[in-house]
Amino acid sequence: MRFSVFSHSFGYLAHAAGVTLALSLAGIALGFVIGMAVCVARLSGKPWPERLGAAYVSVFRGVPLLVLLLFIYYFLATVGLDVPALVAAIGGLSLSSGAYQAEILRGALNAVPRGQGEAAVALGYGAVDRWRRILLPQAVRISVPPLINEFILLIKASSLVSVVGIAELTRVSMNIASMTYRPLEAYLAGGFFYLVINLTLAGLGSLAERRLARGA
Amino acid sequence: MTVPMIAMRAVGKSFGAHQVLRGVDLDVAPSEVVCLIGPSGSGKSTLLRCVNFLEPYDEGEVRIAGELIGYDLDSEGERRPMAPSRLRAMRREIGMVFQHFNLWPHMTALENVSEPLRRVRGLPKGEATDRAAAMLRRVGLADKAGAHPLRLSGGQQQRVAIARALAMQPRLMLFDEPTSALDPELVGEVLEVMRALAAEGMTMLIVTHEMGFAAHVASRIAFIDGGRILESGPPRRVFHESAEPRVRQFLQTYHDRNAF
Repeated sequence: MRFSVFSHSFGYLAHAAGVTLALSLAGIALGFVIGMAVCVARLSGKPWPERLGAAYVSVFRGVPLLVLLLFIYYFLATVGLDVPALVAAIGGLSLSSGAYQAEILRGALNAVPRGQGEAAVALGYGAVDRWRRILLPQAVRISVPPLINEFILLIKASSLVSVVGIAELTRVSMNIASMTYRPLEAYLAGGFFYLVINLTLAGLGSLAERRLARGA
Repeated sequence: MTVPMIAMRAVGKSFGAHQVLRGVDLDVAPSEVVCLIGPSGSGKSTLLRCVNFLEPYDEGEVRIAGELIGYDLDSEGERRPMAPSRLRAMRREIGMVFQHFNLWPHMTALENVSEPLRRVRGLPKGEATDRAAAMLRRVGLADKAGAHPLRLSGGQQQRVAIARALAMQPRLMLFDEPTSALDPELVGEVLEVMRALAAEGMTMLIVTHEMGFAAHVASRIAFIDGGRILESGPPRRVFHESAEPRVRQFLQTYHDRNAF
């Protein structure tokens, strides 16, 4: 074990961890918006939105993220759409995560008792307020643990965006390994940064869970 | 003659091949309290839920203060679904209390009552909160305003649910087995609130198994079995003078079960 590898590479890795975090957070946030929309479509009770939502989940959950990223990056370029690497990366992450988040939210919404929405209907609520004020807040609360799970998976899966040339944490660790000939130290250091990010996220998740559960 | 608050004519409803309601006629006059009794699965809850169109009926008519609910008639007399905004406007006038309370667990008791005032009645926050607090006082729960529903007993939860419905200032109230999910010793406090409401002249349609309450508070009892009203009249007549064998059998079973 050569400890100087750690001290020399710390700055690079910290920067790369920032890239990983930024990409992942963008993927998570956009994925949440997509997931919410797809989930609402799937539960809308209208045939066409339901079909489109189901098709979305099938496609983006069925295709490996690696393939999706390569497809977005290379194929779109061949048809004349020059997509910057960063856009392709965030696009791929959010499209994929959106499919998973949609299913998590759908499961959570199905877990909200029917009477909850019925009470709102009986009081004269319209669909928008019923979803926004009654159903979604309860579904989000139920879905915090599986969503945190999904976010952690996404942060780890973000290592795949190195294939479109983005210097995120895994790629930078590889570079350090090949430059220093000390793979053990390089990956140990890289893994440490992933662990810190994910433990922080898990901690925030428990905090959110506790806050949302207050009173319930 | 005054227009009935609820007028049901030949109401029919099927779930798939299973016919739950068969040509039900029922009127509820303003300030009248009508209790629907009958065995489980007889269709009484479904009938109640047709009044505010939570359950769409397939045949016949349900009119609230003369206005058909759930459907519009076009020039040829064909029925089509009512515009959602008009259906919502009609539902605002009909309070409903459920067997399982259906309070929203992510809000306090006070917020459960004030939330619909803001979203549906469009009241400003301060006014909604004031009215909600007054409603909680009325059901004896002023001190529980800040509590979340799951911290309350079943009886308290149901009283909050009644306050939530009353705060909307409905013209009539529907109760769907409001005490069936309660521990026996909590039934009284809910019935007490309902009794006070009846005394104030609220129009009420109540599905219940509380025969004692029905006998004392109802202006009329309707006995339902197999999706039909088999007997309807003042409590005395239904409970003591009915010639209908199903009614007598039902009441006999009820008495046997409650005798010890």
